[in-house]
Amino acid sequence: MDAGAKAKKRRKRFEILDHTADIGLIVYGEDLKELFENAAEAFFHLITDLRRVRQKEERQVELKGESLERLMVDWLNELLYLHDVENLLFKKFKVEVIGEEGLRAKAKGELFREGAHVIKTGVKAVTHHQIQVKREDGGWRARVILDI
Amino acid sequence: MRSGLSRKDIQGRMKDLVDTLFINIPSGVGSHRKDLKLNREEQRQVLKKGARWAVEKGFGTAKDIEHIEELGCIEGADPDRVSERAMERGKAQLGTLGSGNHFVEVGYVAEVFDNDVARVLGLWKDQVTVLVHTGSRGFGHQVCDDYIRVMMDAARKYQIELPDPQLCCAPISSPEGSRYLEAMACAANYAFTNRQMISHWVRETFEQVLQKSPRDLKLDLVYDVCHNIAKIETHTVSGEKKKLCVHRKGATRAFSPDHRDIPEDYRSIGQPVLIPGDMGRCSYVLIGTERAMKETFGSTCHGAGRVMSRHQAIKTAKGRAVVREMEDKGIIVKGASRGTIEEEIPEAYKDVNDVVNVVHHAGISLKVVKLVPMGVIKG
Repeated sequence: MDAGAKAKKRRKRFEILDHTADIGLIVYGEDLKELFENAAEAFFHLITDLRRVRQKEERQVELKGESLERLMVDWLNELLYLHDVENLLFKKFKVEVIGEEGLRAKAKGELFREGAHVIKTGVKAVTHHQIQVKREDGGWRARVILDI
Repeated sequence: MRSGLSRKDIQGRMKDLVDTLFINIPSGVGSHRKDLKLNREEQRQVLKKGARWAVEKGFGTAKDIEHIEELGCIEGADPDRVSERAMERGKAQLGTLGSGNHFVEVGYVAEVFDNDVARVLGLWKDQVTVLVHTGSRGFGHQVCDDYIRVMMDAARKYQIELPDPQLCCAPISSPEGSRYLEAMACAANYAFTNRQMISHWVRETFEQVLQKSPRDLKLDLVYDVCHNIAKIETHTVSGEKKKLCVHRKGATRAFSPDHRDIPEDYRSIGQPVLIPGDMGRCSYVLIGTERAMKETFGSTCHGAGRVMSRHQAIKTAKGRAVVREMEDKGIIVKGASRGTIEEEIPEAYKDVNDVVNVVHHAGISLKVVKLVPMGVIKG
């Protein structure tokens, strides 16, 4: 690995924006696949302690897109839906196809178990408020605001 | 809810009460009552009938209905306007408290500001009270999510320029607008039902722990009021009566005495308003006023509001034993997780006393009693 690639590797993947009523995620990625994977990880990092989550269940997510911004909100909302309805906690994501026209991805995790897992923050909804997905410094950056 | 109990009647029983409330009222992720299974048709009935459905199924009494805003059912709810996903999300969460700032709180009347009004509301000094704060859960969020898509397209169609995509909208009279109102009514009815069921389990818990009959406990509903809802109402604007859509976001209804939409037994005093504070300070019961009708379309504030973000609160609480701190203050707290308790530490909120004094002095609702918490469960 050359120095440039190493520097890229070291780049932070996400940060959490503080706000009194909501919480924001700033997510980075070398490419769109990584951006969406990192966004999902940031999302579940907020919800739970990911170190305690194992990869026992897998779900396939397929979404039709219109814009990258809408797709980002839809992607996280889809994972929130699965979390809400099936009580799943996800930790590993593989985005296979991504573009303005849609997304196909796999998410791995396990069922929430009382005692084994913790809920750090209950997320109510992923919003379109101030949503941003854009190219930056040769990579990608996204901003998502969550209603918690 | 008010009760026939004085705070000394439950002395030493609070831990038992809180523990049992926590068992009887599902709070954490994925928890739900094992004795509650709804088929699709029943779920549709919940959305159409609201709290009336709950009473028909034995949750609470017909008397409760009279003390719920809109008698526990917003008209015009159409389950066909609600997506399959919302139905799925709703099915799993009916009769659950939920996380965030949702809670059930057992407290007592610490101070009476207006004796006459308090008497009409059946409230007295040192009386045990119960506050329930929850809503339409994931069902409401899914309805919102589904209609945001509809509204984004509608805003384009009606050429409405948006400063932010989350503010997407459509004219109320448009097909998109009226469909949304029919779906929103379903979410409101879901919330009325949810609170009605939880209130019922609160009563059962008191019966179980204190070994007293409902007649002795007298856990009667004082009032159930919505916040974060849009309602079609008639108000006087510049001397003219007009039909309006009043959107109360972070606000609650506060109708004046003599308004026909408030229960008969409260008509001489005005509509009760409930303003919860944080779990360590207090909450208030107020009453709506004529001034609110004139100045705020019959609305007032609905809570204290945060001063600290959730993350800040958790950082502030780091290393502290929040549950112990509360216990030292005489408040037993139980939550589904540490995080949900820590993000709710009292100093994360504005002082509700200040907030309530503002609306009181502005005259848009008036203080009746102050409630001090003794036991709290959180999702």
